Amino acid sequence: MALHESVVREQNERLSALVHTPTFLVVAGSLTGLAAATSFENGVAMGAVSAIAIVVMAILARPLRSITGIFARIPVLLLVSATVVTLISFAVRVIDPVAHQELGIYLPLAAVNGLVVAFIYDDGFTGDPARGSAAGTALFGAVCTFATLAFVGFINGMFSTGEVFGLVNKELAASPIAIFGTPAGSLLVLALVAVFVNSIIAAVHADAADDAVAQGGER
Amino acid sequence: MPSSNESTSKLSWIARHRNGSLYTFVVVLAAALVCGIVMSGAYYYGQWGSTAFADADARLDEAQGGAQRALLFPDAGSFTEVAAPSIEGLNSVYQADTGGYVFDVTSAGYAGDVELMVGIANDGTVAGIQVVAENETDGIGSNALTDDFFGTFTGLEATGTLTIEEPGSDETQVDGISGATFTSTAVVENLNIAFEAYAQLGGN
Repeated sequence: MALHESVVREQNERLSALVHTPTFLVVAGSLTGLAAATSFENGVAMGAVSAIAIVVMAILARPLRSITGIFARIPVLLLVSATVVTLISFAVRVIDPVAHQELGIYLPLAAVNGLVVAFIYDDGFTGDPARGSAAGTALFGAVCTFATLAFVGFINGMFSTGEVFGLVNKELAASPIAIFGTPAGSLLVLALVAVFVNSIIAAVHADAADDAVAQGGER
Repeated sequence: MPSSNESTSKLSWIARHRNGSLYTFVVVLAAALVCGIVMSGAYYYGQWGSTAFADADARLDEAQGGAQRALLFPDAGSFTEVAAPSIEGLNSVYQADTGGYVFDVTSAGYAGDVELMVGIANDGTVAGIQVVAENETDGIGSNALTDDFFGTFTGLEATGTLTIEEPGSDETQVDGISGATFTSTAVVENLNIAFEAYAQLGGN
């Protein structure tokens, strides 16, 4: 039995409130590159590729939408995002062949990031802190993806090998905490990042609420 | 009441036709062609139009080789490439700052070439062996490319000629791996090439 239109609308509004947040941007952008962020260098490379793919697809989303219909949109966006990521992977191969070798087939996964952003940019998705600007939101997502993957790679590299920037901490790598060096551990680190982002949002909203109270509340 | 014909005519030709089947087919085909041309053009330029990919592959080989050389001589701080003697199967020679040599050698195995790095310490003994590239059969030929088998050569004097068959004069017999004769022979041949190169460089 189909749901009543008002129920569907309410569900959509609740879902929209859930995803129109910086936390969603951070998680959606970083998720596909997590397994490849096994060291700081790999995290930076994967983050850079994902960020560039996000920005390029955000730029191309509107022009492509204007020339594609509802049946051609998905295939064309898929083709274009795969092309963008392939060109970026060629650049990675030339700039850092070791990172290209280590990332391997994970590089094309950044196409998923670009594709998702193309769809949500297309729908006019905006969220904090660039509410009202789709371009600003896409750029914020790209920066967060880069920063998150670099951070995840840093944590994974430190806990799995006990070494970061040439400094060694073998005791850490030999302890159970080294589970953070596995892809499952990457999800834990991403959860910590999401909590951190949520705490910033809560602090910003609390400040805004305090300001409203200080000004006398509703009139 | 506004006329639907008037609102339709205000839309562009693309807006009016873009949900049609023929337009969809043409757009997807055009997108596939454009994307294919762009990707193949970029690959062609990187591979054949310039030396970008070749230089990148050379840097990758150097980085990976450096990592393997460091495994053979962990105490070495740096490796310097030296002029390799003209011996068939000898690809390159590096000398560690501690005095040892690393020989990159290739011999024919069962399913193609077997490329190894043979480290010879400055006391004239085999320091270790690393696999660079091989295509041997898993579980059969690969049994002759294990650390255990390589370990039987560690400490061996890097002189003379080794063989897994009945030794002639000036030959030393060593054990191969049962069922992996071709690969064992390739490993022994690689060691012989490294020994010959070491001798020509002033070793034993």
